[in-house]
Amino acid sequence: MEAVRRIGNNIILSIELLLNNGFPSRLNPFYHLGSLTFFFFWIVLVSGIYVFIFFETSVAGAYPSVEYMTHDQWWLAGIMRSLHRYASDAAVISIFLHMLREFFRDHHRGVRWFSWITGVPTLWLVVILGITGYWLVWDQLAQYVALATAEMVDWIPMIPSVMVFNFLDNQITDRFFTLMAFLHLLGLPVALVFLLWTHVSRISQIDFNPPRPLATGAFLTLLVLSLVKPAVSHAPVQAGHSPMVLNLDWFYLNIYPLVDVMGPGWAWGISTGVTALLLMLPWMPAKKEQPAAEVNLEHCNGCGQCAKDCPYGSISMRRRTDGKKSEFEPTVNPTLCTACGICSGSCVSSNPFRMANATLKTGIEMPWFTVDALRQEVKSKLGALSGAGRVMVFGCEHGMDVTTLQDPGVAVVSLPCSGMLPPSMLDYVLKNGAEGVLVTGCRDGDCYHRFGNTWTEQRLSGEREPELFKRVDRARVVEFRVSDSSGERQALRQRLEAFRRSLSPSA
Amino acid sequence: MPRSFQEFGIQFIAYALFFVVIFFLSSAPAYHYLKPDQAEVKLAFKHTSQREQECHQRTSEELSKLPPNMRKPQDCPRKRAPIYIELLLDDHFLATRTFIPPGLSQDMASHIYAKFSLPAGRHKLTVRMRDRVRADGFDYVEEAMRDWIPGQGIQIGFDESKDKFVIN
Repeated sequence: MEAVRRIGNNIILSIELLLNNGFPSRLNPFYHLGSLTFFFFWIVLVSGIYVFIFFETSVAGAYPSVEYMTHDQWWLAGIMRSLHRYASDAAVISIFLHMLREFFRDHHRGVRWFSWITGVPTLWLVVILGITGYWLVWDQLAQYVALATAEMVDWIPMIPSVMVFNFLDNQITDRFFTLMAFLHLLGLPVALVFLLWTHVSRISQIDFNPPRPLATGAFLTLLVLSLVKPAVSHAPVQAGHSPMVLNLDWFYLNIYPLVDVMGPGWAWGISTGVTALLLMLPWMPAKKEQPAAEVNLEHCNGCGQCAKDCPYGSISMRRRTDGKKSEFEPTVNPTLCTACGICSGSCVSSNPFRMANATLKTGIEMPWFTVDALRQEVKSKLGALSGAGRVMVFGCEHGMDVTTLQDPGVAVVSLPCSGMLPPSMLDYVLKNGAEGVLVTGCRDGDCYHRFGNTWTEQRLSGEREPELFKRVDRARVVEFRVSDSSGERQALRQRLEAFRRSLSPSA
Repeated sequence: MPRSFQEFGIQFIAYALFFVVIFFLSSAPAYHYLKPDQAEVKLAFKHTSQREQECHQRTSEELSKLPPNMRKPQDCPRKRAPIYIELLLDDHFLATRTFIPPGLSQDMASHIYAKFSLPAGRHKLTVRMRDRVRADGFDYVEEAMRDWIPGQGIQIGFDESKDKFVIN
């Protein structure tokens, strides 16, 4: 499974690299697949509300009302119908890519299993929602889908095999449309909202909206598609006739040919098998997490920056328990902590100039990689630097492997996330033998730990606490973020060489 | 907004790909549920088969061994026979199906549902059903010689009041 994941990861990174050549990094569509899905749901919701105004929930009225929208009021209701369909299809694409990406990028295991697991039933719900939408048109496709669905339901053991009889001989009644309208318009969407809320409930500071340029581009594409190829219905249901050729929406209705060819049992078997596999993936194999962050109250001033910066909402503030001056203290929920170290980088006490001759203790840190351990590693590597253009490179385990950059003039330190780097460490490095510091890690918008690169950038530019000291010469600090794709390795090396030459022309 | 021709080109390709994937997969490739020269026949009806074993008249000795509230004169085993159906086209086998009665004791009415495609044109369609325990022979047989048109949905039901098949 790991081999598959590695291959997939390389493919995803290559696609992202290609897109990064066309989109600014923060607008790369692959970095916003989740929020794009929410955006498509908004289009589906708004267009669906408009379409429902003209829709008649009855056997006799459903088809003519959809035809009216498609042909008579094509200029608005017809476009809305097309947008409704195509945005639903787009949501399937973004969900599929989102799922693949989260799996290949290893975002689905460890503490993050919950978001993955809650995403799986969401897939079912989205597909069922789409299928019920096709039923409402009540054309030959709807009749086919209804019958095939009934065949699948009737196959389930212990359920009386009678559903299919509702759809034979036009025995269907208006009550069916009331039920379908309830399911499609209220029941399933409410369940979907609840599931989506659960899906994102274990991460913090969620951006539900994609960047505006990306949303605009996606919407215009769907609008043009709606004008070029308006969504149309099949022929109306005709008693005594079976459909011959069906223009299936393969995003939602792909299971039905399988039902015809292999039977409902196989269709159920494949669907449930894929679902079971998806549910097991976070433990194939299980991820070994490092121990969660620990709070050292005697060094904590209760500022709450760690709680603000934690990407997983694992840190919360509570009333101080040790009687010190500040009102609050942080507390860590270990079941939510991925041990990324971002909290450690956000702590004002993570200052390597403190406790110079003793073990450095900070307000919150990783027990397996303390700021003191980081300071010692930095100190020892600085001592080994020689020659001109001496640079210390801080990288992240999930970005490019920085150890390949090491040479006598370049020292490298790999962190679990670049967000673990306290800004004062840069000052420390520059005061202790390095001529420059290069910070690298995941690309903008693509941090493995969600915000590590963003927070670091903001800390270094003085927009976020703790800020890089003003006394630090900015010309000696470079941030250059690349993904771990082979196509970008050379770019990082070239940037490093250029930086070293700028520090010391003889380097 | 794209800042260079390369950026414009890549963005255009990305959106075009998005467009093309939805354009095609939202309705293509077309799925041929039936071939142009095919009709479809659906077996769809509810039927209760005969009991596997005949009811047995209890003797007075047997009755006396039963608790007073269970002394029914007849002992009728609940299990019913499987329903065996054959479909023939011009006296050649088209399909056969066996339906086991549902229920824990297999004693409930069976909801028969199956569908098959058949060539359009003038053909004799025969349906026959065995609903009791026996090795051969059929309890119900119905034939229809008609012109089946392509795409026709032929429904075979069972009229319980007349105890015979209905081919529509």
